[in-house]
Amino acid sequence: MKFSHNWLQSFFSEKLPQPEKLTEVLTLHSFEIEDFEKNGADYVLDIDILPNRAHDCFCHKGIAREIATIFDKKFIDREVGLINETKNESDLKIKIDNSKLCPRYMGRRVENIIVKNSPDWLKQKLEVLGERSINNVVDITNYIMLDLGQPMHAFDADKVKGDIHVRQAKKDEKIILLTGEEAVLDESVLLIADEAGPLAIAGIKGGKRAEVTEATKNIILESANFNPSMVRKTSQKLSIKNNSSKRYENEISPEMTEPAMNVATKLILENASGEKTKNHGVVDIYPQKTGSYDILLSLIQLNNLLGVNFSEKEVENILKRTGWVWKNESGKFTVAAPAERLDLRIKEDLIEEIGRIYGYENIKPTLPENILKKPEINKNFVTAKKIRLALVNLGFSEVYNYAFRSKGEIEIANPIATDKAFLRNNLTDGLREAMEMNMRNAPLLGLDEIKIFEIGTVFGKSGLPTGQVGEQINVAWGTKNKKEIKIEECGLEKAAEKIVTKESDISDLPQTKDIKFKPFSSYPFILRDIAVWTTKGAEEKEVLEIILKNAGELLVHKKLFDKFEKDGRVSYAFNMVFQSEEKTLTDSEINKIMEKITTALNAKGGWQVR
Amino acid sequence: MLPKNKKQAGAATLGKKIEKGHLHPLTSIHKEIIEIFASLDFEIAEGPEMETEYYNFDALNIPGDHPARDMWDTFWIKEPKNFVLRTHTSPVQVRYMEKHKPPFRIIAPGRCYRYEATDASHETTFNQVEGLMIGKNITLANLKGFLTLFMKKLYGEDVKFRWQPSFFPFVEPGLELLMSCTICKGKGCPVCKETGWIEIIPCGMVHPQVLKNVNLDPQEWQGFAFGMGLDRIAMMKYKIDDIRLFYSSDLRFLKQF
Repeated sequence: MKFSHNWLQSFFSEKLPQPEKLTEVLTLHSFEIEDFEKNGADYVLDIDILPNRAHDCFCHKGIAREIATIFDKKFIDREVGLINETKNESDLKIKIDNSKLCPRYMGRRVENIIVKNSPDWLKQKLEVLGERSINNVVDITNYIMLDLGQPMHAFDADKVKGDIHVRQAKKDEKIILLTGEEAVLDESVLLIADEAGPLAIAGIKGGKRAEVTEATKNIILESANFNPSMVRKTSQKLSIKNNSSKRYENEISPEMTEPAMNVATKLILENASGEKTKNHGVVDIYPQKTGSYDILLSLIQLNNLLGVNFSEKEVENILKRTGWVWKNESGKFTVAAPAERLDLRIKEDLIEEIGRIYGYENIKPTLPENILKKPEINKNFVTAKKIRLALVNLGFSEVYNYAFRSKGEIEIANPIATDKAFLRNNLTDGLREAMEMNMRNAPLLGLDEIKIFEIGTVFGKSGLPTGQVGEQINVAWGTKNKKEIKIEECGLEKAAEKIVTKESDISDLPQTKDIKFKPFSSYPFILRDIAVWTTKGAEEKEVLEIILKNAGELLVHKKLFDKFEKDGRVSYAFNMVFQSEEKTLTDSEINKIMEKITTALNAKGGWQVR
Repeated sequence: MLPKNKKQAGAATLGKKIEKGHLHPLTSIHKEIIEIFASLDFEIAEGPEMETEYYNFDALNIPGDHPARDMWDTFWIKEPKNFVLRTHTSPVQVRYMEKHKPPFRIIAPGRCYRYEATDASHETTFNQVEGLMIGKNITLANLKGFLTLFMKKLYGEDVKFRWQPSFFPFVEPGLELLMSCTICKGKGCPVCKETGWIEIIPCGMVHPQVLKNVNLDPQEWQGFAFGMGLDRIAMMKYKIDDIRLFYSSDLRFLKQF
């Protein structure tokens, strides 16, 4: 999620560290800052908020609070107190059908406002983060969300007919969204509605009917709390994911609606008011106030889980940086979880906070005393190891094939591709395909036959009672050459009987410690043979030397395939494989090389290329 | 018998000795990792690749319709419906704890699956090794102790790594061990998403709810868990820049190991 460095700075009177420093320190103590980018006089930080901190850190205030704790800086809470109402009473009526789906709804009517372009400071704040400026009212609601994490909405009050009703949609009920698209709803969708029908999809998207435009005079501001899993389901069902749904589906404390409403009202009065502007009292439907959470943690519990030896004083010094309400009674700490910190509930949550503020890198690694109980031997593991050893010693190479096949007994509900919709019920099919693929590269590999094996899981349900599925580890091994293909497959035990001999146990598996992989060319190779008569006594390596000297780096593989003597002369015949790392070779390029080799070989007294 | 015949057949070809085959690089890494932990008295445990929703998610404190589940893009089995292809080896923790009494330390290697588009650093198929240690006073410092030892044994004494806060519903506190990317030497490349660091071992202290789910009293028992992606560890070790090569069955790749 994107954050503005200047915006974060507004929570401090002290100067904030530069983005480099923030990245380095926050990454080790809070969240990974994936990237930062200069934007005018500002920097935009891309912060990867951990899922358990989405409640409080999907906004600048949350991140600023985090920076204050980690860097031990004074945090300025810009919270605005209650707004003076110019008209105490409100004729706004709000009804909530199910407070589980909407635990809190605050509404406020503001009359005679002036909808126009946003002031520059506001436009700039949104634009730095890539948000489009629409008008002062809409921009203020977006600003609040980015500042405090509470999504808000504004309705044109004159287009709302009667009372506001938070209710579930009816089957096939329709709404035209702000984007102009029509959404067809059902009972799982929560609506903000009036007598005339849907006004907005709760927590996700406003409707076109009561959109705030330049012509709007009177508005209803909404600051509400919605059920996270309801928003998540609706957002998935309608395929609408946006700033608002993202925040609601991660759950926000209902306590957050109030500060958001206060700041929004203040900003509307500052930036959208005229002579006759009147703000009505807030209507707040909050039937069940959320409780507060006190977490108890003793110094002993903290030290025992982290494996550290903190003193009371050290813990106090860490807690002082957080801005939380807490007390210490001789090593027994009580911490009141702030409303927005829905992730702080049990003592382990608190231990994590103290641990990461202190810094995990500062915790000294130690090993526990050894346990006396000796581990049990895992039979499958030992058997598989023996089979691998035996097969590798016999010249077989190990492959790992995908478990996804076009055929099988068990079907996947959401396959990655239609030809990968089943789980394999044998290893043989995959092994055969791998052999054929490798056979095409046999000259390049310098192999006459392909010998490979796999040890892997196969899945099935035949032979099992209806409704049951099963899996087992199989071994398949096989050989393919130009003439034939042979594959055997069976379970681990059976395979061990067939393959593992005493001899196969003598040498250990190959060492791979210092291997570094070299990428191979993905361009096609060209095959050529060359045969040469040499004078008697000429050795293979003399011939090779001349070939190598003249072939250049495109020759990637060569092999002697024939040698015989006749009439006092010796014939050597080589296979040669040419391949480029950079391009597809042409015949004429290789012909030139072959001519060069031929000329060089013929230049040797008594030698003749056949 | 097959072995002898093969040997003779091989030996006849141009008078050459039979050439040994190659172990898959993931097997080699797997073997090395297992040996390191076996020398520290960890026991090898196993579990199925086709798991129930309960073991893969619920028992690990990952409730349904919770955004945290989005962290695991899942392949679902069509019939029976409550089965998935395991998205991590963590269910083995639960299965083992249900059947054994602590203290214990286990390591559980195995293949896992994620529903995602593949590219140089993402695969639908990958291999993990899970670790779990439970006792009366196993600490986060011990977690760091074992993994530090492990990293040095696997990559050498001067391996560069660090610890970051992280979140996984089945641990609290949750951490991530990152190592300096060996592909680009920490300069930034597609494999490390240009950060110079690569996440290789998510870990943490077992969440008390997970202990409760297997009827262990969190007042009495505590411990750590970690999971490591073998594919990434092998990529770092052998400087392999494309995860898909592991499942290519291509001998041009495999013969290098």
